[in-house]
Amino acid sequence: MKINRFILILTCLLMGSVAFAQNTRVTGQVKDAKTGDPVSFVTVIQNGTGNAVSADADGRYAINVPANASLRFSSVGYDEVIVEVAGRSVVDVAMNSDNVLEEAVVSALGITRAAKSLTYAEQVVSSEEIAGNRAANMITSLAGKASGVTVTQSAAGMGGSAKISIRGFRSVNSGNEPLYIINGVPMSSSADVSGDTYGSSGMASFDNGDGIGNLNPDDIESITILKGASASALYGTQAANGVILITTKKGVAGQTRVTFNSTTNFENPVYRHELQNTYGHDASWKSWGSKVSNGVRAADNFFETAHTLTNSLSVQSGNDRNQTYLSYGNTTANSILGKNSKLSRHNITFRNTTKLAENLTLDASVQFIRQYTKNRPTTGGLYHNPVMSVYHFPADLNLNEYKEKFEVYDMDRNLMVQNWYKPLTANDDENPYWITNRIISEQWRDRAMGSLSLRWDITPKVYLQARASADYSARRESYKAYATTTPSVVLSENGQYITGKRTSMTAYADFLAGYKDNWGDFGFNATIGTSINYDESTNTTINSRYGGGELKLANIFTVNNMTVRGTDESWYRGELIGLFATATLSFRDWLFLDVTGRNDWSSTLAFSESFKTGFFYPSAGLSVLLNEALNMPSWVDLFKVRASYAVVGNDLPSRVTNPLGSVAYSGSVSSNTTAPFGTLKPELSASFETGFDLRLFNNRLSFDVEYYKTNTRNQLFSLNAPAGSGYSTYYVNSGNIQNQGIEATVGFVPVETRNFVWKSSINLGMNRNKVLALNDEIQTFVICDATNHGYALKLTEGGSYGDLYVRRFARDASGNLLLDDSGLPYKESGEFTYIGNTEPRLTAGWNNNFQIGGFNVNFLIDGRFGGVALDATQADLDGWGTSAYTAKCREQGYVEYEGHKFNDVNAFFSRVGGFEGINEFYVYDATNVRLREASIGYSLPKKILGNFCQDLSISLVGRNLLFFYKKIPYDPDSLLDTDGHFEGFSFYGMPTTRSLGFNIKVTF
Amino acid sequence: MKSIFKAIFVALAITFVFSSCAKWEDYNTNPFGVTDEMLAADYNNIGAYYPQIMQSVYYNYNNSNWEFQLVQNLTADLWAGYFSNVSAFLSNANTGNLFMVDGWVGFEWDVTYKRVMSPIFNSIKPLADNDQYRHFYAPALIMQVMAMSRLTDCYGPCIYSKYGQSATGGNFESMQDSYNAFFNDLDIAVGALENFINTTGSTTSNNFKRFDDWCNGDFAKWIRFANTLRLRLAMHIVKVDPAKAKSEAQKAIGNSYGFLSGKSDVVTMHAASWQHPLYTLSTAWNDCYMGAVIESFLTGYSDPREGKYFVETSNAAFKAAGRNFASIRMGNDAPGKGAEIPYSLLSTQKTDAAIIMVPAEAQFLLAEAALRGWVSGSAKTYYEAGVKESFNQYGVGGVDDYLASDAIPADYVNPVEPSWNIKAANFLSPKWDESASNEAKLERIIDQKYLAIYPDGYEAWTDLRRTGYPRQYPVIINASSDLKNDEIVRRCTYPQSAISSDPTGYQQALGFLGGPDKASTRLWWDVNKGNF
Repeated sequence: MKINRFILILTCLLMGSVAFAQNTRVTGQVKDAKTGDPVSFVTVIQNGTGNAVSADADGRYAINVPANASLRFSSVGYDEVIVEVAGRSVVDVAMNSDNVLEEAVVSALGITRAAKSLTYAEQVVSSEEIAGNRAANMITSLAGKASGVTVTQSAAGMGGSAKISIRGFRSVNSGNEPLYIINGVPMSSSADVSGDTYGSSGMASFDNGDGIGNLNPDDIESITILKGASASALYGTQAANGVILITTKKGVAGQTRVTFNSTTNFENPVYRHELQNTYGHDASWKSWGSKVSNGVRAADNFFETAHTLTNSLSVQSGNDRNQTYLSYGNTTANSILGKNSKLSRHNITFRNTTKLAENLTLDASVQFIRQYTKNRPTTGGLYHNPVMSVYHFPADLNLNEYKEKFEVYDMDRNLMVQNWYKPLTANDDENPYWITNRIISEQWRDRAMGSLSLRWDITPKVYLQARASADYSARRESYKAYATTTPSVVLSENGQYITGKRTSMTAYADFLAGYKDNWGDFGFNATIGTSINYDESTNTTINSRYGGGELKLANIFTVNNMTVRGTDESWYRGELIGLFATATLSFRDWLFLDVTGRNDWSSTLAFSESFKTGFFYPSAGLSVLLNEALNMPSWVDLFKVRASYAVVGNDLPSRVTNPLGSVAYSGSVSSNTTAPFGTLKPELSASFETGFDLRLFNNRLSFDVEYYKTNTRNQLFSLNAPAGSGYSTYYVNSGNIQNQGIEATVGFVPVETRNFVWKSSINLGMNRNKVLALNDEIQTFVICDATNHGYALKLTEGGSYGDLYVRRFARDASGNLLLDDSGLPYKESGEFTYIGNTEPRLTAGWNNNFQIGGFNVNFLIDGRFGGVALDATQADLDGWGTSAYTAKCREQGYVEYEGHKFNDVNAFFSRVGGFEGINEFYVYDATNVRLREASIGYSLPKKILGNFCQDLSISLVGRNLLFFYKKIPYDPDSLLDTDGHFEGFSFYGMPTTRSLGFNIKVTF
Repeated sequence: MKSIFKAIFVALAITFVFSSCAKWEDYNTNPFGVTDEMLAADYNNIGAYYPQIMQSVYYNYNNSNWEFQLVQNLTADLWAGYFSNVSAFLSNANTGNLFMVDGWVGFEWDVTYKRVMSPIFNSIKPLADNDQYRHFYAPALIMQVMAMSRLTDCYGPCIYSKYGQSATGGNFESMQDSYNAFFNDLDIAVGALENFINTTGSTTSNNFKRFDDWCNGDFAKWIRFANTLRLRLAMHIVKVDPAKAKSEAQKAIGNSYGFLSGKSDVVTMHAASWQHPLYTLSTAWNDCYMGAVIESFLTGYSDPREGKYFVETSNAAFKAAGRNFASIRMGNDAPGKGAEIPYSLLSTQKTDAAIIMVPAEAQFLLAEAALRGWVSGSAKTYYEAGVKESFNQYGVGGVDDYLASDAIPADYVNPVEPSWNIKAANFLSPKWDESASNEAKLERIIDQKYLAIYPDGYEAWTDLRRTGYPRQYPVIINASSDLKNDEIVRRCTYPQSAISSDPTGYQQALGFLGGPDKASTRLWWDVNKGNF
């Protein structure tokens, strides 16, 4: 059909160029062929020219064209229509809504394919769903919207990074983040996060955000998620964790559309731990003192309302041959820590699509991003964490006394020193206002992304395409902790200074050739190509604390003032060359066989045995459109069954094949103690998936169900070498981690009338992870060992990712608590023991959209069911006696647990609470169901707007509005880090916020 | 048409890949890494590894501090009674409470192999046969013997003689074999250094001196150090292999360079950027305070070294009880570090040099040798010379009065935690008693040696196991399953990482150990009988 259209266009062009005639005014109305309703804002183009207009909201248009012209009508969601004017002055047109069977989708490498031919599951999320109700990090708006995709984020909030996990955890060492592709080319999105229960090199745990969070959500047209290996197989070595394809907006032909979008959001930390205000402090500053009246919860007053203001202005313009999109976006935000904790970002985006010749298309885009952040909130941990300071603060003291006077003059040193009500020690808190005013961390990030794509349709059957892109970012950072910032953490009385610069660059080029043909009942569609990826990152960070150094002179923040000038220097470069081919063979348009193959050569394999051969990644899939193949009732719109198998890889770490010694901070040479790994192989994920896509009753009911099973082998383990081997560590490829699961999306349209439409969809995901094998030498692989704070995450053969180990109560053979002489329970002796798995058994989202006249109402409820989490925050608060729970127990005179009543509340929590207490008590079911998003929007009718603008809509939006169910004291969606080390663990992260905002969108 | 394209692409890709070979090897090589070729200038290819090794015996490589805490401070240093804490690590189920915390007791094993054995084997030893580098190897060998004797004395059988000969594991040997190899390696090292001095006529080498943070390039001092180390190791095995012990002791005594002697012969680790880890552990982290056993001696004897080692308490309750120094018993039931900790911190400063070996040790070893009749001269003379060496080292006076003192160790008194109070475990005074039994004489020698070699927790712990002195207090909370409150830790269990990485080797090790892999199992030289 497309070919026919192409020929038609070509014919028209030829005709147009030879014919010459007087222009006449043609008017008409465009209607939906089925419902008879007008179709708004249809683009009407005089075919083969740049002469174009846009129809109005009622579908009415007027255009001056020659009497022999042909008009092309196009609109999103409708099949294009071409009509000959043939001398008429009124041309009314009926357009058919997109036929599901002809729906085109973007697949791997940006290759557009017919949806029906896909042999695997992929899911598309539209711009409205992302930008309409925006989250702090754009990508976290995916939460609850795609089955099998788990979206969580760091507890930092403002500017923090997201953790996207598609179909479970599969790699022990090589990362589990999906590959991000923007307009067909890779984008770098690595996060810079360091989450730890203490902190990082004297600093608090930090989250400097990820690449994806820099984007302007208003620029996004759609996001396509390639979940399984079969969908992403063409990406070879990079495909194991799925791929997120982002398509940005383009210009539109035939009109100039200016859109102004402004969103203001307010966030309040309503989901924080419950604290008491009835008991004062004791001699050790814990809140086990006597009862007080008029006690104050410091946390009630400390946090401020965070706000985010995003404005963007975009221009879409163009004609038949050239379309341009230009936008400017601007974000300013404050976190709940107040005005000193802020972010500002500018985004400029330009995209241009040009037909250089009728069959030669050039698509070019450029983005510039500048982002400044100051004092990002910490993700948690002991060091410099205002949350801990505030939660520890006794009810009988007044935090306000330490707000203005966060520092006081010290005659001895002739400087302002931190003022706090207790001594500053490494394992305790410090003045939160000192943290926000005298520990100043700033970052400046500049990023430029550019891409070019040239496509030459040589004949209707053959095309060539070449693309090139680069994504470069540079980040400068500065960290200044003033003298008397807890000296035992900074390891200096004089403060701490860190300065650094990082750059990263991803460059990409590919070359594709496509061919398609039909031979009778058979169709053939193939693409072959080659690509090259180049990644580079550099880092130079100088930290006054490295190598045991410090600042010589207090509060002078320069490198020359450091005693050691310990520096981290790194420069990573990696290149990947792929050669790939994909072919689809179809029979009568209802049977599709899909095969792909890719061979990758990688610089990370240099010095290894596989350097020259590289690795080959195949996939094959089959889909059958049963509704076409068999005689089915007419109310079956589509019934497709599919199955596919693929083997893909996971990125290899560099330099494993060639470890070297290094020069340490002190200038001494640190010898290499890792054995070189000459037989390095990439991790291989073998994946099978099968499912069906069923759409009924004119798409009013649809089911998309998928079963998958992935086995990831060749896990890269760094093992302790036998002591006598001459090395202390060596690498092996081994293991087998299996994920299997079911994903289902059910869509239904319960009501569809002229003035009221209710669309609803439910998505479900269930993943089961199992470690089938690790390595002969290790029974247990420790993913995270924060035993000082009661938490360990370990993989064992037969276990699963997310197996949580904690300190448990001593019990007798039948599981009853054992009590000691003082009548208190005590901890089990020995190592930590398994208590449960942190991963959800089921994730679900229920999305609803109502169109009632000009009103548009949306709400999304999502939930995670099953899985446990350890709340070390609650444990510590109980140990400190500041939690509301301890007050309640003190009021009632006992703690009740497993049928026992313990009357000495203080003694009970001294033993059970705290980091090193009996954490079993603090392991909760992480199940929660929340109203994730809700919004109500209204588009002003054309009558009111008149000529002022084309469209004006306002909406009220909210996120995290309420929890329908949550028994755990914190929000399990917020993480101490986003790289998978801390799952199901809270340690004084920023409280989760409820966000409310409004959005105004005006289109001129 | 397709085949034409395919041919083009294959050709293109192959061109890419093969033209990329050298470039990709470049990409996959850390530009900030160093290779021996890059280091050749100034003998850095061999010498530059010395700072790492020298910072890894009394461990504080790269001033990491926390590693030192696990390598030594929360194990041997605690068990020797030098230090203690009220940090309530792991809710008082830690090494102080006689519990083998796997993540802790494995550090000595890991860092010694990683930071000492591996660079010597991979980077220094291969050059040793080359005349140009021969004199470099001898000091490395002496450090290797010191570090590895400490390791085997900590865990038991280890891999020494056949180190580096198998990538897949095994090659453990008996402690006797390791000790024989230690003595043999000391022979090689001393022989090489004597040869260097004899042939060059110089006791130093400028190209080596730059790297020597222990003995400042003085090869004669290295020989004296090796002799003292040989005497130390000989005395370790006196109960199990007296013949070998005697012959090695006499070899050390007979060497013309003698033993470490005089204040300038204190072997220390010192470098501009290097820090004493005890400073950070104590003053910065408040995890290391004066231990009850050493306080009993220093306070009871009014020992002038007390103020050199520790800081006076400012706590009023201790002052009122007549105590200027406040110590902590090991294995206590403290709930954790409170807001104010009344105990005596260490007087160690960040920039202090760290003691590797003191000359006084040689005198106390000779005193013990005299008791056994291996050396001429009286035990009393060597004993008093040892005390004098130590007083001289710390620049404190009154040694004659001290050696005449009848003072006895003080009881443990703690007005803040009165439940910890206990009678002194030790009872001998500094004054020599010639009429005493050899056993009592040895106890007096070891008591004073204990005070002189402070803060060498590893050697003090070895003396404790070997001789039973100085006597320790029982722990208050015992988290061990096999040691009683008043029993001492006799060895560290093998770290889990070593077991899992080398299961065959572990079975060999257990065979040589001759007992279960527990803290109560005695090592080869730790024979359960009297000292004489």
